[in-house]
Amino acid sequence: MRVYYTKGPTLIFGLLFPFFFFLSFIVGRSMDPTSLIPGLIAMVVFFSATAVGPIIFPTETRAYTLERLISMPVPLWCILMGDSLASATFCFISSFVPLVLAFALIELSFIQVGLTIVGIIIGGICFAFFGQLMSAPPVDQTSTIMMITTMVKFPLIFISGIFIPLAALPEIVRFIALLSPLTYVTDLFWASVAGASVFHPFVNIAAIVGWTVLLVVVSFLAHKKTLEKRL
Amino acid sequence: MKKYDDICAVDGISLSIQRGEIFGLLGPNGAGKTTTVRMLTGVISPTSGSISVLGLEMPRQANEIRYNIGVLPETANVYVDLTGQQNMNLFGNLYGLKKDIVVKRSTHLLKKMNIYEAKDREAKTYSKGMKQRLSLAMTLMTDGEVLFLDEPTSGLDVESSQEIRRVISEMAAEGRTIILTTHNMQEAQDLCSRVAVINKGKIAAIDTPMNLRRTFEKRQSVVVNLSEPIPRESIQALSNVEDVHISGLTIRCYSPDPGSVLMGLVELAKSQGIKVLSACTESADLESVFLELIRLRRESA
Repeated sequence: MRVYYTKGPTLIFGLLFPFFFFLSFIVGRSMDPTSLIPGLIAMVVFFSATAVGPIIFPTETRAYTLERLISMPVPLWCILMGDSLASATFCFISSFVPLVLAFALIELSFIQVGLTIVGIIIGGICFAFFGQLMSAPPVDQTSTIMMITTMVKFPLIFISGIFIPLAALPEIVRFIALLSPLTYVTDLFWASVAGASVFHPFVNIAAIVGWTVLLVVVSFLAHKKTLEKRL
Repeated sequence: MKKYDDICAVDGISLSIQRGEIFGLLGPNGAGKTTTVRMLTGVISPTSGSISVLGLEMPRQANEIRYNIGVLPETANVYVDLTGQQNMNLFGNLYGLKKDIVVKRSTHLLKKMNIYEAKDREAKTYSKGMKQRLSLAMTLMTDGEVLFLDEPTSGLDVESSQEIRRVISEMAAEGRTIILTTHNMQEAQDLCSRVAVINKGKIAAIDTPMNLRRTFEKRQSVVVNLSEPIPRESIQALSNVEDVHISGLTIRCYSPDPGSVLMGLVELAKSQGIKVLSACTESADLESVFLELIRLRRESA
């Protein structure tokens, strides 16, 4: 945390990016906070959870600290879990801001706040592994990984109901949206904040957990495959 | 054996190292030393063959082994955004050491490496020598029975190199087994009880440094540039000349006593009215020691 939270790419992609992205969307429009907050929370969770993970492996490779780390009695899965936990923690801290904003602007019940926190926790963990998977290519330049990550993240933002509610998306886009984990996280925040979602919250939670398990397994296999190429 | 696609980085190396020994892996850059150490420490898996460390099987029992070894990789660095003390704490924690042991051991090691005064400074402010000493201190946090030190003095100034060699000697005196890779013949000679000369992924010889030095001495040479050629036969007739290579007006004579050969060559040139334009003696490099070892091996076979 001490090493990676203050790195430039973490701050730019994790904090500044979602803030300005959302600002450019709402400026000049009079929108009801209830229809804004779910997208804002989802975007902060998505960007902040995927900000730390992609920079850890390239930085460790470039700084020659990775070989030392993997020669210690710490299995690869443990290193990956630690990295993702650091990413998820960064997300939890960052998400505190929109959560307080939601609390201030909308009258949320205890259950609504609880469900939103559950969404932040499971969404943060899910996207932490998503970011980690993105860092599997064995390169030592953070910029290369950030480019790959941005190419994947941007389309997901537009098809996952952040700016336009899922129900309002064209049918074909809505079908593609079902393949994105961000869709279920956003829909969960729509359920918790606005009380209007496409899926039942439990369906969203189950889908996010399923995606998390898949990302954990794929990320581990991908990193195991590319680890020797980093040395 | 370790293969990367069609390239064989390590080819059928077989060796046994005794407890308490300082064993040197000596060879030029790209010889396969680091790949060998990486396989021994479980960082990479061998393509074929078996490895046993402290009676345990690598990589199957890698974690058990790693609790009892210390590894200083060739390109190892420290976390430059952390202080020296924080680096030590991080490694102590990753090895699962208790807090009081981490404090006690890190204080002892930082003092031993002469960097205790700088322990609260970020490692980015350290010199290269200080970083390497911190790196070695981190390696010793485990108090491991076996230490793998990959080029620990490479690229360092004389003072830092001596400091690290002193610590290695002390570690050996405490009864630890040390596997030291180096391309520095003198370092291997000063520290190691046995040395394996490795090149192009193969072991050419395993012997004591003393025996290897005898081979090494034979590969010293004298190089002279003359104004006119001298017949090969008259050069070969000089005493102590073992081999002669002539390339144009440049003559290279291999000899265990390059000083006397140089004098002989100058006398010979003078007697024939030929000017000596330049003259120097050269020590053998590892590549030529390796080639000599291969030649001797073939002859004995």
